[in-house]
Amino acid sequence: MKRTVHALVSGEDSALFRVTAVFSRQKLNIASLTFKRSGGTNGTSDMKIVTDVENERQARQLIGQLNKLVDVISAADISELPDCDKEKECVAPEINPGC
Amino acid sequence: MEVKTKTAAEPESRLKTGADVLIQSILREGTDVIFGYPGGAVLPIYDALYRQKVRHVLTRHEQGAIHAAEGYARVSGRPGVVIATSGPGATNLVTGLMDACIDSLPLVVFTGQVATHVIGTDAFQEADVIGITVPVTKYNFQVENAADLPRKVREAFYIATTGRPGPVLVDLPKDICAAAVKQEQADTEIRLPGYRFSKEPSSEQVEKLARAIETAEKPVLLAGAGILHAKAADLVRVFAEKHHLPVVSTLLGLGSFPASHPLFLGMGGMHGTYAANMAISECDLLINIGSRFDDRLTGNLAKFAPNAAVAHVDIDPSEIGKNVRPAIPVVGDARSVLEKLLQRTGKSGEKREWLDHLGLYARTHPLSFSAGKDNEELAPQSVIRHVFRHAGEDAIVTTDVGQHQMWTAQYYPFNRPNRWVTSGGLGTMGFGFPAAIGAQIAEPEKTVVSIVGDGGFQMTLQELAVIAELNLPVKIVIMNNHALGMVRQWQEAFYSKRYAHSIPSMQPDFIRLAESYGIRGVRVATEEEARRVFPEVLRDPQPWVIDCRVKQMANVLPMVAPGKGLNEMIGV
Repeated sequence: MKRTVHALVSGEDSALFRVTAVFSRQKLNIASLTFKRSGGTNGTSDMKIVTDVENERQARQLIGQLNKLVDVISAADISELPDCDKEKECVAPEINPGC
Repeated sequence: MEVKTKTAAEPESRLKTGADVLIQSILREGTDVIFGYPGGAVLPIYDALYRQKVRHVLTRHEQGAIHAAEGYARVSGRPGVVIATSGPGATNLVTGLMDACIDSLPLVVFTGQVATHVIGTDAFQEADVIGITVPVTKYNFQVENAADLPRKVREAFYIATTGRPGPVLVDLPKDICAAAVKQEQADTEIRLPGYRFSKEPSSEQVEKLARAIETAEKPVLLAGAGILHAKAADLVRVFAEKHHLPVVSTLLGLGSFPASHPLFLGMGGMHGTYAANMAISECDLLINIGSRFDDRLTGNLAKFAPNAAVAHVDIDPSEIGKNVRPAIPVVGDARSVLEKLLQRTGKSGEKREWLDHLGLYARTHPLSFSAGKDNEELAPQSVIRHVFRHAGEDAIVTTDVGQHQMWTAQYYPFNRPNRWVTSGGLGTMGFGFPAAIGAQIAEPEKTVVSIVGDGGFQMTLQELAVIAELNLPVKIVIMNNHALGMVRQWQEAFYSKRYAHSIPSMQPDFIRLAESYGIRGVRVATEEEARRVFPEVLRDPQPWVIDCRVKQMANVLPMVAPGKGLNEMIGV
């Protein structure tokens, strides 16, 4: 089942690697990945990852493992959000005026 | 003519180096000993150690250093600190990092790195240590600015010791350690926006658990190592007695509840007691405090605790529901949860029928072995009994992994917390002896016995130099069956006795080997010799190697075979 995961991560260079390592450890393929620096002084980045999980339990496990990472400020399964809101999680408003 | 060459190690100015700041920052955290091994990339750090006269234990291999730090952490509850050089020095730590990660031991590990300007060029002794150790650490990072060292060291200790403890690795490029640093007010403010943990449980979940305990007819408490990390052994005892809860321990939880207590059923799992495993199989409420439901404990998950509502208390929310889905999840520190539970006035009835039922299992299916006659080959289980008899309840016991580990877990009654040091999750051969060095350094007045197999001992025996050098009175009991016992046992049981590479054709003379380090050794081959030797050597204030020649074909029983449920034990 297709799931979309959003993670707000700290600006550490290794955050991208750490997040994707959680997926590979659980043998989850990444169908698409967006990584965007927020540009603020706090140096955070937004990640949006689309993946396929076997069941709800695996999805919960994935979010739990992501939230456990020191560099992840928050991680959530945003699959149930309308597509427009999903985009808001990861795309700056000025380049996504339709939402 | 004497020529003086100015080097980076001899700065002219009175400015401190990054390495000086590093050592000061490590000491600020209360560190009293560092386990390590020098090398090119950490020369500035060792120069700072030389100047600051910090206690440093030079092991003979980096793996020895990190296992010693694990032993130190396990018995003291304080973080073990390690220094190793770049490249091979760092990669030699990987086993210990993983071991500490899976067994939740607080370590802070500093690795040297090549200078910043050559990182990524395949420089001499360069390795991508951050990349290599991401999966085997709680956190890792490289320091990019010497001025950040006080804060970064503080954060490393904070992460290692809070929440679910674990190893943190700090990678230090050589130029950062050699850099001159102005003596300013150190910035030690922790800035970790993504790091959080919750010690305090939800009152609602605690209430649910309390009500479940009061109404359960066949409850069982599963005591895991989380109790030891939370320093909650005293509360578990009060709690179990208040509610008349029979207690099963995990391997790593041994000592969190007194083994001689009438409510104690023994260790559960693959080589647990029949009573412990049947209690889990038949209970209607399983209260897991601080265990992660490891597969060696649960057996076949589909058959695990089939009649029970499961309550899972864990400080790590990602453990809840990972293997067993609980009806009552409680995220929190074991001590905080137990305090809240004990604040309630409710008390459970005695459940005499359930306790009698389990007592009958314990009486009719006890752990047993035949010690044999005085002049007969020594039973390995008997060695454990001799060690316990003469080392006493306050002794610290360390092991590797395998048959000797399981026999120790089965036959050594751990009545006090933090006396049991073993490699649980990773099952690391070569762990026990260096871990005993760290334990002895943490607890210099206590008797420390390292029970090891002849296979595992040969993986880290070079650390004999350390106990000789420091005159650490560690007693090394080699359960010498001239085989890789557990491998051999599985080959006997599941591979039609095809003993592929589990019975080596030669082994060293362990006594002469010990003597070559200036350590006394003695061989024990019979019951009569064991009775004579153990009281003598375990009370001696010197290190000893005791080479116990035990039955080669002895098996660890009872056993839950792979794929079977806990109620399907063989050899009971």
